[in-house]
Parts: sequence; structure tokens; C-alpha cells
Amino acid sequence: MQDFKGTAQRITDLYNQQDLSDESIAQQMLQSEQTAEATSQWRLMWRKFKRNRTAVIGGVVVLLFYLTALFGDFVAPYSLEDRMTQYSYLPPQKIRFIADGRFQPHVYGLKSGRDPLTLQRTYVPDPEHKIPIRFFVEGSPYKLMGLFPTNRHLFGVEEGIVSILGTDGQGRDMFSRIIKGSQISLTVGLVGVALSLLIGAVLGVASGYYGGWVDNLVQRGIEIVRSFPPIPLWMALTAALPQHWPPLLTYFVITVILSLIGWTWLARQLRGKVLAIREEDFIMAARLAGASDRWIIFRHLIPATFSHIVVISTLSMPSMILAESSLSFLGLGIRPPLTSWGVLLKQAQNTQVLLLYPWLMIPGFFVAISILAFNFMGDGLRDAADPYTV
Amino acid sequence: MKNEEKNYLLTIKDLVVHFHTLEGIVRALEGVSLHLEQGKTLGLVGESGCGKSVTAHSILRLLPPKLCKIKGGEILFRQRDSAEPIDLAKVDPQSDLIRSIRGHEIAMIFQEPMTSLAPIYTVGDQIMEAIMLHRQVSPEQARESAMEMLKAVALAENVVDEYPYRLSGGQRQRAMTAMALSCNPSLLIADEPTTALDVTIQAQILELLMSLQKEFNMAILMITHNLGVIAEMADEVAVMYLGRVVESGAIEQVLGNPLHPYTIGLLKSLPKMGDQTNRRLAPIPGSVPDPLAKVEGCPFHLRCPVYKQKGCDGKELPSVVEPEPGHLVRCVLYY
Amino acid sequence: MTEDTIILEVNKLTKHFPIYRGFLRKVVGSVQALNDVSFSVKKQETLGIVGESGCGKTTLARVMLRAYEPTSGEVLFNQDGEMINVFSLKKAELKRLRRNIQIIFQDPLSSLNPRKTVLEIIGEPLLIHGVAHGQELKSRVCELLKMVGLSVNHLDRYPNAFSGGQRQRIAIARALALQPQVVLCDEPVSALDVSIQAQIINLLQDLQKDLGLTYLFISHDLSVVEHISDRVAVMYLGSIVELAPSSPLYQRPRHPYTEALLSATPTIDPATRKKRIILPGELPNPSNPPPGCKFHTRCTYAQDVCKTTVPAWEEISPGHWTACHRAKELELRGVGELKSSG
Ligand SMILES: Nc1ncnc2c1ncn2[C@@H]1O[C@H](COP(=O)(O)OP(=O)(O)OP(=O)(O)O)[C@@H](O)[C@H]1O
Ligand SMILES: Nc1ncnc2c1ncn2[C@@H]1O[C@H](COP(=O)(O)OP(=O)(O)OP(=O)(O)O)[C@@H](O)[C@H]1O
Ligand code: SF4
Ligand SMILES: [Mg+2]
Ligand SMILES: [Mg+2]
Repeated sequence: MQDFKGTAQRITDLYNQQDLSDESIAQQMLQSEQTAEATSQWRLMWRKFKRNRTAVIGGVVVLLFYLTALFGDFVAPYSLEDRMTQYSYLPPQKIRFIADGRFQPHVYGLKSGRDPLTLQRTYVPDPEHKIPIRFFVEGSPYKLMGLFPTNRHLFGVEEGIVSILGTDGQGRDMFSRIIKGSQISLTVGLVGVALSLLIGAVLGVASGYYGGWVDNLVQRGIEIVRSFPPIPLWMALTAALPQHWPPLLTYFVITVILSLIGWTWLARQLRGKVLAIREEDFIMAARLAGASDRWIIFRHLIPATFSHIVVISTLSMPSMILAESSLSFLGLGIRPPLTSWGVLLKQAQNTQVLLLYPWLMIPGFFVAISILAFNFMGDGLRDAADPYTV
Repeated sequence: MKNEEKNYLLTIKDLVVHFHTLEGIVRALEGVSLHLEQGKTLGLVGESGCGKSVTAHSILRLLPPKLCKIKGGEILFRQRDSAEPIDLAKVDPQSDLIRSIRGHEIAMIFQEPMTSLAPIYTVGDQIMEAIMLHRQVSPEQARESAMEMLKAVALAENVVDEYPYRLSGGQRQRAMTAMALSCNPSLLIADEPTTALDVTIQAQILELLMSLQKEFNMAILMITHNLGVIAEMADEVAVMYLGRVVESGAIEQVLGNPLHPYTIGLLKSLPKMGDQTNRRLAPIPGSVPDPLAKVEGCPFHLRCPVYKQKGCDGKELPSVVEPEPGHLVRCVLYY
Repeated sequence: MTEDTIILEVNKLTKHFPIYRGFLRKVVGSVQALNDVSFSVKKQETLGIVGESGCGKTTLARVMLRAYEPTSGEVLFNQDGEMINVFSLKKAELKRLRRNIQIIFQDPLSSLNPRKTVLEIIGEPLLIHGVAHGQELKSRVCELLKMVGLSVNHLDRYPNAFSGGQRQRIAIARALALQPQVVLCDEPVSALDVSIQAQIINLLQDLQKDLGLTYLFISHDLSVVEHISDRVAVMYLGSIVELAPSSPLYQRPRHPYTEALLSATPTIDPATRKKRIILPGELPNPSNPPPGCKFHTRCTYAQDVCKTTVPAWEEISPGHWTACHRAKELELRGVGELKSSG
């Protein structure tokens, strides 16, 4: 009956006799080891990002867009200025896949005529005349990625025309032009974000870390920049650009202008982040171990904000793309012969064109898709960026 | 067993609760059994993550429904005017029945009262709302009762028109208690009610709870990881480890004469105040396993000194034995 | 065990945090976090500091390390026999001093950078001071890991792969990396479970014995402080109200606040449910502390003089200091008596 008290006493003795040398503690630690592997921040982020379906789709779309832009001359069947005047205002062609019972992508040849009432040019597909679509065909020459001269294109036809998104009034293939336009529309964003990152990151981190008058100055500066309405400001700045400047230079200056305004948001976000991290004990620990400001900023603050910089950049891409499109649409941005989505949309400016040739609006669709994709991806990244707050 | 015949207010039998998280299954409760008598206090102790809060939330069915499943077991609660207890584990968490029990017959107070007091309403409004939800009274009567409750928890009358953020931690906990007790519940669940407070304020709140318990004749389920608080408050105590109750009994039995190696280890880890011998502490080695890991056999064997000395093979899950009346322990050494 | 040389001396240390309001950040008052705090620490002893939340414990540790500049007062550190004032040091000298005084924080999660591996975390102080790098750094870190009971296999892991207790061990290893003489422990076990808490306390005690460390041990848990400390200081609202070797302080306290704290602390002895002294009211606002004895608003023994005159800081018996007008006449109850009277 009293036996259980003896057992309890034995257990107590075992506790007292425990070998508590460092060696055995380390051993015990290993035994009751958790299975957590050494997971770095980026691995944790990736794991969390992967789970977000829409974000992954957004990411894939963004990646596809950039790949297409990179190999634009190859993917596009025609070059920017290939005019096929006999096919002006051609509606998107239908691609058929089966010919004579086997797989053979082709388009129908076209018979053109005039509508007797409106005198519009009309195109009638001729089912008898199948034009096969060939892959890796020879076409107009270009330099792949600006380096390797070649004249191969991903696909094309040997006679007639293949225009899956239609042509414009001068008979230029819209699909090819949209792809070429993406090269500018998507890189304006990249360059603009990179530039605003440079300004925003330095000012944001400095104002968060040092506080005091530095912070005050930067914050007031941001408020001043932000108090201007953006569109009139852009218009004023771009209108001030001399008309005779080469288009490439205009393009470059426009990205600078966009980033001069874009950095404020970035700086604000980073400052908030730095303010939070600055209060963490590990910063205090480094300081009390004798670390200098430079050490803390470069070894702790910047790495800690890095994931947020990625997120913030992704999320500011849409506004850059949109800004470029609006400027070009208004005729203040990129000018022909360069082409961007905004420039292409400019063709669809009047309602008559819109009614008769609705496919000229397709570039707008691309703008929307790219913006959505960036936003989805950015949201996913943002949720994944703080893998430690679960 | 004769225990069964007693008219317990609350009886939990073999409660199993799992969380299905993205990382895997967290076996939060793996068969918890408890019982609590009318007007008594049951203390629930154990280290962080052992399932104390999950037990409490299961009783009120407050667990996140998508993530969490009650896999088995019963939660028998005796309602005020019915002879047969109902099984809360089978009740639909959205039903009117559980809503009428929450706050009315079973009330709960939390560690951080700020999270359960709405910041944009005054303390008085919130207590009145709680009263009017369960009782047919006019706003004037409700306000009257709210004032009375605040007086019972020793808060000044003007607190009635204060917003929660204007109160100190101790005052908030009092306000929260006033709200919880406003409908005169027969069971109060207190989940770490004093953990965030200073000792002098903790003493005030504990004193308050004990006097209110006498006044309202309610049972208290006191959750804490502070054995001292349990020792001063509780009549019975249940020690939990990894989702199981490993030892339970009257407070004198469990703390005065601990049996389970885990309980013994906990007590040996605590420095005793006023103990001048300055003995070295004898801690439990290792740490609590990862919540995602499934521990086979005796839940404690990985850290148990008896297992380490090969005095037990740890492989089988020990069943509960009763070495002395009312004192239950889940360990093979007492077979 | 402890020598009698004084290693650290704090004289009339005061820290007020200004409270700013409005757009122009006008100073509208100040939080009196520390007021005229004086004490000294002997070599290789543990001085415990207890007090309720907000009484200035963390501020004390941080001002002593010059993380914040003090409002007034001085902190003297015994560097090779010479008492140097921490607050008058130049940048380079301060960096040298940091090798001698280190700190352990309360929250083991926030005090370790989640993006760095254990090697980088523990090695950081060594790199900052240029003590070791490369292979040598690695072997130093391995030694430190072993010293705190962690395995060398843990070198390349990130903090999130460790439990709370293991994280605190990493923090201890980092604090010891530069072989300091004094370690300020700011609630090092408060965030841990009881069983882990005991492991860390034992580790700290062993390290003290092996390395001859001096501790300033801050906690709000009276039993932990009694267990680990040679002497204990009790703080209330930014001031030390009592300071004595631990056994007299717990057995026969001389300040009413200490008595109240002791009686309010729940103990596990079920046989002796004691009669508590319930202090009325709450901690006053530190930006507007009461006049006279700061404790008089809650003190059961307060008299008229307490409301107007600040009690003197007096040595009431050898080594036992307190600040209370009625210290000599009052018979206060310590832990032992509290128990027997229950
Ligand atoms: N919402 C949830 N999702 C996933 N797991 C959960 C959730 N809530 C609790 N758990 C898990 O259930 C287990 C028990 O948790 P519980 O909160 O009951 O512990 P506890 O004993 O109250 O601890 P503490 O002392 O820290 O409050 C833990 O392992 C925890 O990780
Ligand atoms: N950086 C700061 N700026 C302004 N006030 C501060 C600052 N740090 C602390 N205080 C104030 O000083 C007082 C003392 O705070 P301190 O953190 O030293 O207390 P503590 O004793 O460590 O409390 P706890 O037990 O909660 O850690 C508090 O009223 C606090 O609000
Ligand atoms: S001086 Fe007066 S008020 Fe202060 S502690 Fe002593 S008795 Fe109490
Ligand atoms: Mg809990
Ligand atoms: Mg503190």
C-alpha cells in the first residue's frame, strides 16, 4: 500500500543523481532534437510562396512576359516596321490545327475585297487555300538579344500572312508590335524601380535608423513630393523635354522622371520596417558588443530589409508600367519609331477606330494582365516575406 | 468506479483534439480526462504547449472549426436546471445551445484582457451587452447590474464610462472578470488570468476570484503554469504533458506527494523561497518535443530519468492507475 | 567565494526619458525611470535586482552599458585596479570596455537575428573586435557551444530551429564570447518554462564558478532571485528601496514593500497557506511619482511624515540598506514567519 511512496522517492533520487555535466546535456539535447532542418530565410520564403496559388500563377506570367520580351525578335514573326499594306486593318486570323486528317497548323489564305456600302476593305478566308505555319522559318534579319545576327523566327508563313492579333492601318502585325512594345513597357518599370530603389532605400534606411533631424528632413521632403498630383507633374516634366532629342534618350529620361516620384512610397515603407527592426534586441546586442553604425546597417538592417525591398519593388512595378502607358498614350512619353504598349494604345484613341477595329485595343489587355500578375506575385511575396511571424 | 456516481458539474472523458495545419497534424489533445465539482476549483498546470488552452477552448467550442477537429471523447456539462448532463463535444459550435451556454453558464477570462474587450466601447456598455444578451432586462436595469458587478470586483463606479485602453492591466482584468461574472455562471474558466500581471496585482486578483467564488458558488477551472498560484487557489489539480493528463488528485496529494516523474521533476525545478540550503536545482533534462512530432508510448519517456536509467522501456502508453483514493497517475512504475 | 574587491560601482544614477508632444516635439514632462540609484557589485558575486514591471530594471542595465545616456550620475568599472567612469569614455575606450561587460536579454527570440546562423551570431562579437576569424573563429565558437551545452552540429542552423531554452543558451554563448568579467542578465529565464528555467539557472551558476563571472541578475521572480543571488536589491518606481544579503532580506525584510512582495508571491507549500498582505491600488505613474516616500500611496504603515519627506538611504544593520522612515521601529515579516503565521 505504501509502496508508491517508495517509488516516488526513487524517482526523486534519480533526479538528484542526474549527470549534469556539459557533455551529457549536449547529448540529451541531441536526443530530444527537433527535426527542424537548417532552413534559411529564402527557403522559408519560397516554401510559403509556393503555397499561394494565385501568387505562383502571377509569378509564372511575369516570367513568361520577360522571357518573351528578351527573345522578342525571335518570337515575333515580323519586325517592327514590316508593313504589309495589302493587309491593312486585317482582323485577327483564326489558326486551324488539323489539315487533311493530321496535325498541321495553318491559316486560310485571304481574298480581299471592298464592302460596297462602306468602302471598307474586307477579307474573306479561303478554305481551299491552306497556308501552313512553319516553325523556325527564315524571315527578316535581326540580332538576337542585340548580339547574334540571325533571321530565324519562332514561327511564320512562306506566303501570305499570319497575324494572330490582326494588323493596324499600315498593315503591321499587332502581335509582333505588342511583343516589341513589351520590351520597352516592361523595362521602363524595371529601370524605374531600380532607380527609385537606389534613392528610396538609402533615404528610407537612413531616416529610420538615425531618426531625429535626418528623419524629419526626409519625411518633409517626401510630403512635398507627394503633395503634387502625379499626372500633371509628369506631363509638365516630360513636356519640358526638347522635341529634337532622340527617342532613346527621351525613354531614358522618362524612367528617371518616373523614379523621381516613385521613390517616396518605397522610402516610407522601408523606414517603417527599419524602425521596427531597430527596436529588436539583436540590434541592441550588436551595439553593446561594440558594433559601429556601419556594421549594424550593413550586417543587420539591410539584410533584414532585403526581402521587403524585393516585395516593395514588385508591388511598385504596376504603377510604373501604368505611368509609362498613360504618358505614351497622351503622347508625352515614348515616341515612334520606338514602340511601347502606351504608344500602341494611342492608335485606338478615337471611337471610330475602336468600333471598326476593336483588336487595336489588345495592348490594353496586355497592360492589365501584366499589372495583375505583378500584383498577385507581390502580394504572395509580401505574405511570404516575414517567415518568422507565424 | 464510484467516481462516476458523483454529480460532477463538468466531466471530460478521453478528449482528443487535432489541428490539421499546413505543416502537418498537431496532436494537441491525446485523451484528456478531468472532472470538476460544483463550487470547487480545479487547477490545470503544465508547460507551454501541453494543451491547456486547447482544453479550455474545447469546452466552449471556441476552436477554429476549419483547422481543428474533436476526434473523440466527451465533454459532459450539467446545465443549471436539467438533470442529465449534455455532451458539449457533440454540440454544433454555431448552435443557439452553445451560445446560450457561453457567457451565461460558462464564462471565460483570458491572459490578456485587452484582446477580449472591444476597444471602441466603454467597459459599462460591454458588461450591459453581456447582461442583455442572456437576460430579459431593460437597459437601465442592465446598467444597474453592471455597476453592481464593477463594485463586486472592487473597481470605482466611474470605470463604467471608461474605455479599456485607459485602464491599467490589473483594472482591465477586473473589468473582464466583472463581465464574465455578470450572468452568474456556474463555471468560470480562467486561462492564465494573472500571468501578465505583477505579483502584487496578481495577489489582488486571486483574492478577488476566491471571494467571488464563495459569493456566487461557482466552479473555477484555473489554467496556469505557475504551481504557486495553483497551490494557493485550487482544491484539485491536473498536471498535463503533451496533450495528456499525467497526474491528478487533491492539491495536497499531488503537490505534497507527487508520483509522476514529470510532476516530481517540475517541483524539483522550482527554487523554493526561504529555503536557505541553496540546494542545486534538479531540472528535467531536454525540452518539449516539436508539436508536429508524434511521440509513441509514454509521452514523457524522452525526458524521464527512469527511462534514461533503463528502469522503464517507455514503449507502451501507460494506463491510469490510482495508488491512493482520488490520486490518479499515468505511469508504469505504479502498476 | 566572492572576493571583496569592488568591480562595479553605481553612483546616484538618474535617467529621465523626456515625453514629447505635438508637431514640434515639445518636451511636456518626463518618465522618471531611474532616480538616484546607488550600489556597488563585488567581484564574482551575484547581485539580484527585483521589482515589478516598469520599476526601471531594464533601464538600469541599459544605462549602465551606456545604451542610453544617463540624466546624471556615474557608473565606475574596475579596469585592472583603476576605477573608470563609463560615461566619460571616448568611442574607442568604450569599445574596449564592452569586452568586459556583456548582457543577456529576456526574449531569446528577439535577441537573436533570425537571418544568421549560430556561427555568425556567436562569432559576431569576436569579429567586431577582431579577435578571431576564419578557422580560428569557428573553433572558438565550437568551444563556446560546448560550454553552454549545445552540440557542434548546431553551428549552421538558424535560431528558428531551436527551442526557447536552446536559444537562451546561444545568447549566453554570445555574451561570453569576449570573455567578459561582468554579465548583466536582464530577466534571462522569465520567458522560459519552469523545467528549462532550472536548466539555465544551473548553467549560469556553473559558468560563474568556472569563469569567475560577476552577475547582475534582474528578475521579477523573487524565488529565482533568492536562489541565485548573494545580495538582493529591491526596486520600486525607479529607486532602490532595500538592499541586503539575500538571507536577511528574505527572512527579515526592513522595508514594507519588500514584505508585501514576499507575502504576495505564491508558494507551492500546500501545508502553509499564508495570510497575504494585499497592497491596495496600483503602481503610480512614473512620470508623476508621489512626493515623499514614493511607496506611501500603497504602504500599510504610512504616516504623515511619509507623505512629505523622502526617507534617507540608511545602513540599518551591517550590509543591510533601506529607505523607510519607520524601518527601525517596524517588525516586518519575512518568508519564514509568513509561513508559520498562516
Ligand atoms: N490555432 C492553432 N493552430 C495550430 N496549432 C495549434 C493552434 N492552437 C494550438 N495549437 C497547438 O496545440 C498545442 C497545445 O496548445 P495550447 O495553446 O493548448 O498550449 P498551452 O498549454 O495553453 O500553452 P501556453 O502555456 O503556451 O498557453 C500546441 O502544440 C500548439 O502548437
Ligand atoms: N526608451 C524609452 N523611452 C521612454 N520611456 C521608457 C523607455 N524605456 C523605458 N521607459 C520607461 O521607463 C520605465 C522603466 O522601464 P523599464 O523597462 O526599465 O522597466 P522594467 O523594470 O524593466 O520593467 P519590466 O519588468 O516590464 O521589464 C517605464 O515606465 C517605461 O515606460
Ligand atoms: S517610509 Fe513610510 S510609506 Fe514609505 S515604506 Fe516606510 S512606512 Fe511605508
Ligand atoms: Mg495557453
Ligand atoms: Mg525589463
